[in-house]
Amino acid sequence: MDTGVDRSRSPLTRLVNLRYGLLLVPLVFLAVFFFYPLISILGVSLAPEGQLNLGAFTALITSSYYRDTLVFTTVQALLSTLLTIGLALPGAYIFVRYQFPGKSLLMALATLPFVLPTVVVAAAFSALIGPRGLLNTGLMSLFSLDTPPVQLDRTLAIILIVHVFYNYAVALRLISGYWANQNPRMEEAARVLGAHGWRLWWTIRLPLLRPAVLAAAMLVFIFTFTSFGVVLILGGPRFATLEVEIYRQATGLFNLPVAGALALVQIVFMFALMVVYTRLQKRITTDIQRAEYVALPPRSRRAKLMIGLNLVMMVVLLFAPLLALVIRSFTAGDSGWTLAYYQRLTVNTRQSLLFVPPAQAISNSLVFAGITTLLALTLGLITAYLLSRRNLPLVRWLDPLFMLPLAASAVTLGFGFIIALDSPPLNLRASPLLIPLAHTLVAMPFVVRSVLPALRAIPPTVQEAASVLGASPWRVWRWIDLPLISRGLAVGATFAFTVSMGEFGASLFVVRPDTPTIPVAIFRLLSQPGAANYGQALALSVILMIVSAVGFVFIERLRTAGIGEF
Amino acid sequence: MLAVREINLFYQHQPVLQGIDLDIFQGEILCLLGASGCGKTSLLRVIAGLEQPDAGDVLVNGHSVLDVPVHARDFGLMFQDFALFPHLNVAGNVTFGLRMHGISHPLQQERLREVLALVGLAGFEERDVTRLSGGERQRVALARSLAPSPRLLMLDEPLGSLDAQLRERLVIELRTIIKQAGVTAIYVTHDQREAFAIADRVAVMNAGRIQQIGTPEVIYRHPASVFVSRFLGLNNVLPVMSHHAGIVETAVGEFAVPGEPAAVLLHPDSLSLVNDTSERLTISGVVVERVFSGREYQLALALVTGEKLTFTISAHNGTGIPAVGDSLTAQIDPALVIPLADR
Repeated sequence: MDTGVDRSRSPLTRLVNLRYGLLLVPLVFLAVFFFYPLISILGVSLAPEGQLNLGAFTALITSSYYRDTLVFTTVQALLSTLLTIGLALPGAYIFVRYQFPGKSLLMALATLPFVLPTVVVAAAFSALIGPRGLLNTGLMSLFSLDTPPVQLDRTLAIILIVHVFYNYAVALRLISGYWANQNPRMEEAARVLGAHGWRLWWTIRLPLLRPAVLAAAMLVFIFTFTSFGVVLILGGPRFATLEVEIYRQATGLFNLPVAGALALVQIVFMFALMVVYTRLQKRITTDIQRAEYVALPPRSRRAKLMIGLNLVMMVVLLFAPLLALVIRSFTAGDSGWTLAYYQRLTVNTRQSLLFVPPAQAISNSLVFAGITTLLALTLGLITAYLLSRRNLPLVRWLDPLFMLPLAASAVTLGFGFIIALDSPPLNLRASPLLIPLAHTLVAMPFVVRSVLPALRAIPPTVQEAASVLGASPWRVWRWIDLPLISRGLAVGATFAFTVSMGEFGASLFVVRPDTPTIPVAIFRLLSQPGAANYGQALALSVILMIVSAVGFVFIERLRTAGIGEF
Repeated sequence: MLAVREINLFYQHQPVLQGIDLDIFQGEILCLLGASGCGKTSLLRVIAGLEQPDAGDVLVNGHSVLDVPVHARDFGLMFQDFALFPHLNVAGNVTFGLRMHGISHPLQQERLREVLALVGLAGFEERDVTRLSGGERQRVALARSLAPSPRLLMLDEPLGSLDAQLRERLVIELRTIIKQAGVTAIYVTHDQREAFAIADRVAVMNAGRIQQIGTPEVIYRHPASVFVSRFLGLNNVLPVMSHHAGIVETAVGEFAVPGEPAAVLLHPDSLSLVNDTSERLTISGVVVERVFSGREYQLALALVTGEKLTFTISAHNGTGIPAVGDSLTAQIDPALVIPLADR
């Protein structure tokens, strides 16, 4: 009920104070679980024994091994970017220009890979073209071969293919979205002036698309530069990106100073790349024009051929691995269909490196994802609520602060956790809580990004109307704001849940041997010999893929349903 | 009932309201009339408690309400954009205030039917507010503001977002509904016709100040200042060049008006084509425009002294209406020569 007449001189001041109190909750969380680990990384790399010692950094510069790691990280990222953009450009062209059946469904489905966990994707490609994959087992039984004929495992090629798989849709969406908003008259003018064929691409289309192509390239570069799971699982010992090297130095060789130094290099690169990307993205959103290409059905044979080629490429690239994963998880060597891999998930075999039956990983992941969702939702909601009050001072520069965890890679986060939180004052090393805490850092920005636009879209007069009708600030929040952002909250919760279910890099660091998550279990099973382990890895991957896909469909439906509702 | 005393409000060091003094009596409809940006909406927000004034007081029945938070003031406010709650249906919107006041469910339902009937939306309870027409949304907003029986109802340009035809019809209906509900009301608008149609009294505002308060008839017949006169579209304003013993001198001639006005208004209704008394003042000029609007003619005269004045003449005048180009000498009714203050 009403608090009645409030006689304190300034009710506004008290409200502002209350909000600052609330602000402390997410700030303290960030300070303890993000900045403190980052500072610990700085400490361990610059002063491993408590005194300034630049040995680790000197090693990075002088050792050709670390230089090669940096070079490889950059080169594979560049190659992946070039390949992705090269394939996405013609794809964007047909999506902007032509109308063909199944177009919007394909565009929506093409985004699916982006939400799939890296271990699932690695397992899927392994199931398709790995030594034990469908392609090789099929060819071997067909031609009675003793060794797998397709040797892509542990090559640069398979890393690049998987990177294209991951990022193709991102580039396609960015470029075609920008292109569709461009004024078609410019191109028509160029054609009237005599440009055609390749000259049209070089003189008009590419220069006009430059901002979108650059932004897409930058994004793909950022994603592939920080690639971890794909390289670790499919690359074998020969290849290491910075992320993989941090993991190996920290957990395999216990060389913490070097791991810390590598993590610092990684952070510096990431921040620089993020700054450039943010600028590019701003340019894209500002110079969008309001003219739109009208997509027409293809008429010439060349157009039909081009559409056909692109569609075949998309379907093969994006869906063949996922299909192979499902099929292979039900295939027992050469004895046909089997459910054995799924049945064995509940069995704790003696030689298992998991200590627990793989099915235990499923319940672990569900519990961790549940806690993560709760934590991320609570912290994200508070953060979004405060960020939506633009009139509160300080808020403007807090916005980027809460996005910072997105810029740090998961491996860096995990590494920071184990060196910062395993000794007093905060000894959480033995606590299973570390996993949801790390996942919350990754998931919270997604929650903020889903809720904040919904909160900002509420007209202030709607809240004022509720106030005038007798609703106290708390009741305005409960009866007006909360129902109006429920859709955004559901999206944020789903994001948090799926992110937690699939998170691999940070989990690998902080997981305890006897409480593995699904991705960690898949990784361990994949790295073991034996058909049974392999089959179980694929079975777990299928389960995780279904969880992610359901989450993805749910998010897409909530989002599209939101358009035009109010 | 409500008293506003010496209210000052600044926004980013710019004065928005300056020394506002205002009394609203029980049961009356007071209209704040002014151009956009004159501060009328800000004044409404101060009274509602959505803004804290930098100086001054707001009193209800003699008690200050400045320290009472918005939700405890027991006022109603209807927003220009209606601000309906998109996630609630018509019933949810209308009963929101009743729920916040802890009214029991049966009483809520009774009141809901009552106010929906009052605004002519009986049977609309379950309708989705996002699918209503502009006029229907306006009624829902009105019903929502009226439902908790507020001590004071404030309406901020409630017809502003509707088209002109609908507006003319609704303004009369709005007055009937407010009067039936017996609620004291402040009505904000920039439209003079709307203000005159709905208000018991009108307060004309300009640049954060109240220029004049009075009944619509007084405001229209006797605008107090050059600003009010021009704002109402009464443009026959003649600057006073000198005054002496109750006689003021203008470019057109001398008039007998009290006080020391900065200008005089020759009211558009003051022209008479009938040559009856010599007491009346005569002006002469050439007709440069003649507009027929059904019940009357508008004549624009270019005087020999250079001014252009506009008058309305009844179409049933009986004598012939002069045509464009005709020379005209006519009389001015001295009772309709209004002294204007400079502001």
